[in-house]
Amino acid sequence: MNKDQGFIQVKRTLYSIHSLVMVAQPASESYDFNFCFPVPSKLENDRVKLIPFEVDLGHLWHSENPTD
Amino acid sequence: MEAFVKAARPYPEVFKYLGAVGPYDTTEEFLSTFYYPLVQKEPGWMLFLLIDKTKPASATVGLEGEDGAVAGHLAYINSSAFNLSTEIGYICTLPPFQRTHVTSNAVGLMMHYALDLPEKGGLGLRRVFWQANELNKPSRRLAERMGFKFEGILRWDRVLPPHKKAYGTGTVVREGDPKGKDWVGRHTAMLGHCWDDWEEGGKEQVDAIMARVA
Repeated sequence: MNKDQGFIQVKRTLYSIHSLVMVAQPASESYDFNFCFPVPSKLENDRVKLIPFEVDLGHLWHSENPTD
Repeated sequence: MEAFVKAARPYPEVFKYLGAVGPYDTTEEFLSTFYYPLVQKEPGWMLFLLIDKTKPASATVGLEGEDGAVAGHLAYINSSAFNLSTEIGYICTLPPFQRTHVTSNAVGLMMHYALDLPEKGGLGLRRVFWQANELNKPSRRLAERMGFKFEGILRWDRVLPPHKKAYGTGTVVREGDPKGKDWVGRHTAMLGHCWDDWEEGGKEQVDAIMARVA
């Protein structure tokens, strides 16, 4: 399992533990994360969500901070 | 990127134990000092944006198309595909989300992905480790709560930049040190959670912590 093999070749099984859901889909295929393991598109349960950083992620940003 | 930088800008103190990185005034600074030279360059690194789904975006900032507020970041670092190991690090939880469910749930998700077997959706790694500034007691407490076992202190493990002098060992380095006396050092606590810990109750311990109501 290395980056040359590519994360999109790895199939994952959806499953749940408590509220935990590991998502099967690989992360953005158009972005090179340069990580030595498969990159999930997200890690998520009902409380938090982890999204792989992409350089252009900031373009999605909008501020709702009242102090902004 | 901008979302994190924007959310973190009011809280420069959250970077005090994050080695030589941060705080950041601009997205460009975040990219040039952290993301490009470390996250993007190193195949052992993967950085995640952390979102608290239970809080409105107004708690910090939000992302279009995503419910919740940007709560920080954390990463897999120093990973080795050959050795089936990774480290969970660069945990940066912004103050509005500290002492809540956020960090334990984020770390728990990363532990599951790293330590669960591939047939259960994980990577099946043998070792996940955790390193913290020896002085960073909250980080060490969190690691131990998540089932990481203390393995020892790595003395003079890191060089810290002058603006992080307060978080160093407190001992002045010798005359002639290549970095100079302004670049202090830090000792690092090493903790580990390995596949056998995970299978012998570690997973259930983590799940119980994640299930708690903050």
